[in-house]
Amino acid sequence: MANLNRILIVGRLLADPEARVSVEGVPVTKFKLAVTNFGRQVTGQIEVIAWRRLAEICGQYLKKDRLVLAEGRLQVRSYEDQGGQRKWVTEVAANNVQMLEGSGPVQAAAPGGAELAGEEEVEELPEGDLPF
Amino acid sequence: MYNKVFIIGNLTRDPELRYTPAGIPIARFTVAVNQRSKEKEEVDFIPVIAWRRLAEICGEFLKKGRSVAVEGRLQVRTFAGRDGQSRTVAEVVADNMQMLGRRLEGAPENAGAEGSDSKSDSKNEGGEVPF
Repeated sequence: MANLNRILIVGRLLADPEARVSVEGVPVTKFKLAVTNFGRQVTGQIEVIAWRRLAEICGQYLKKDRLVLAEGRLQVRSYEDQGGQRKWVTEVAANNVQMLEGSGPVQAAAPGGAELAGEEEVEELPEGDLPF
Repeated sequence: MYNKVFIIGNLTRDPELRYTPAGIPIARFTVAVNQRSKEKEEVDFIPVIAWRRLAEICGEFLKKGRSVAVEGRLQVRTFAGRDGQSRTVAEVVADNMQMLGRRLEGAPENAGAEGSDSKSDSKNEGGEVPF
């Protein structure tokens, strides 16, 4: 049976990305993108999560207010917070993140180009709960 | 801003068709999408919402277990629950839906939000592509 799960989203980072290392030693980076309602009001935020090399690149280069394109899989998962409550998250598990507006030293390294791309084929996600 | 979601999966239950106080139809359903993975079988459950004509089509023809392709945008919104606590929901707002698998009697081949007026809806009817 055919199955497909793809999301492409462009948005601005609401804060600097949060880069961590999972219990298994895999780099994980999370960031939030502002979501607009048909190009106008900001109606919410979408969390994006990246793993491994892409996580390192995101952690290194992404900054608050940057405009990025994120591509990946839409996933809904739950975890238990410190209070023991079950929380639900909807997030984009990214396998491709590109910056859309160069700025600062990164752009100087790539004049005229608007991108610094980190691309990675994610074959498998590590087992176990995420550290956040 | 650019915001596109494409999913193909199966309905976890019959869609729920409702109307706003203004009389606009809304359909809600959840699509189960299997992850492609060798060693484990995991499923993503993606909530979908459709409006207007597309909602009516979804409510009429979609059934639990049917395979469906949905195209739309990811929407995240916050509202106050009955207990006063604010809750956040993320859902795919469909603007295109196509049923996969066997055709049902009378079911349209595909349905888009653009075809919310019945006149534009009939554009695709009655003809196979000539190649």
